Amino acid sequence: MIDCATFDAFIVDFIEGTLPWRQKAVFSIHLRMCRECREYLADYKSAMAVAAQQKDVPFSGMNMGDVPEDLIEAISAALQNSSKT
Amino acid sequence: MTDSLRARRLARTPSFFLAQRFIEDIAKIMKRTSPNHENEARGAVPVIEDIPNFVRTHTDWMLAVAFRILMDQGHAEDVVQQAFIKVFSKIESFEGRSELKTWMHRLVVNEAIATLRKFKKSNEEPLGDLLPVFDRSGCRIVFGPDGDETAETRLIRSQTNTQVRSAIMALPDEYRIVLCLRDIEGLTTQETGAALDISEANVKVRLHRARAALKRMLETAEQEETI
Repeated sequence: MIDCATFDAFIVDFIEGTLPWRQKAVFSIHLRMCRECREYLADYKSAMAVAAQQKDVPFSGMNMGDVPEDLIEAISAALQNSSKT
Repeated sequence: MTDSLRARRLARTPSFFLAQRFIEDIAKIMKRTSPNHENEARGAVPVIEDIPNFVRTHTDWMLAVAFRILMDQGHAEDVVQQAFIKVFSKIESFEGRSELKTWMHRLVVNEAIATLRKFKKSNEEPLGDLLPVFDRSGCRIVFGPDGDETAETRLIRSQTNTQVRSAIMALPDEYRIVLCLRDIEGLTTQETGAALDISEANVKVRLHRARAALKRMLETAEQEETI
């Protein structure tokens, strides 16, 4: 048997499925018996999911203003110059 | 001299190698495809004809990636410029095993990490009350509403992009960067450790703390809004 603190210490490995099967079984039993850890894990995974959604947010969606036009022009000019040489 | 002997001798001359390289180059050019079909033709080297359009199409997301890692717009813009130069100089090495955008994404991440190493100082900050708490017997102490079975769904649906981004940005750099590389940019634990020059065990510890703190911040924000 493990306690919640031990479960917490290996939560990353548990989620990634990198625990040895025996440990995984022990963790699964704890999870089945402990409602607090079950709910914690569910919320923890939710936090991971909403963080992952940030990948699809472009700079213009970050409330930081639009992509600077002069940046686009500078990069385009530099690339066009380098492609000519 | 027989034809086969002449051919074998010719094959050893520098002009033969030059000619062979020329033929290979021509073959590569023949295999090239237009940027509109860059993802369809796996194995082909994409040719970028309309540079301004290509830059305009990709700058937005590239700047977002660099900014998420660096949290500094000036540095992020420099990274994007460098990444575009790398894209153009290394396009021949793009093997088409992934989508062009995936390949470019890795270039931006690598550039951002290189910049991070140059300019960021290591400043481990405590996460204070944001980490999980346990009683003396190792049992979890729960914060917030008890017995709420819909927490997961509620949490995901209720958070706007702005709230999530604000929470991530509020994390101390040591944790934010690991969370960013692992959970947002999709690097493995091993890649993250190598990029930040820390052990995999350290990556996991920081990742767990970052996720735990993020979870707590999102819950707190949600509870405050409910009140």
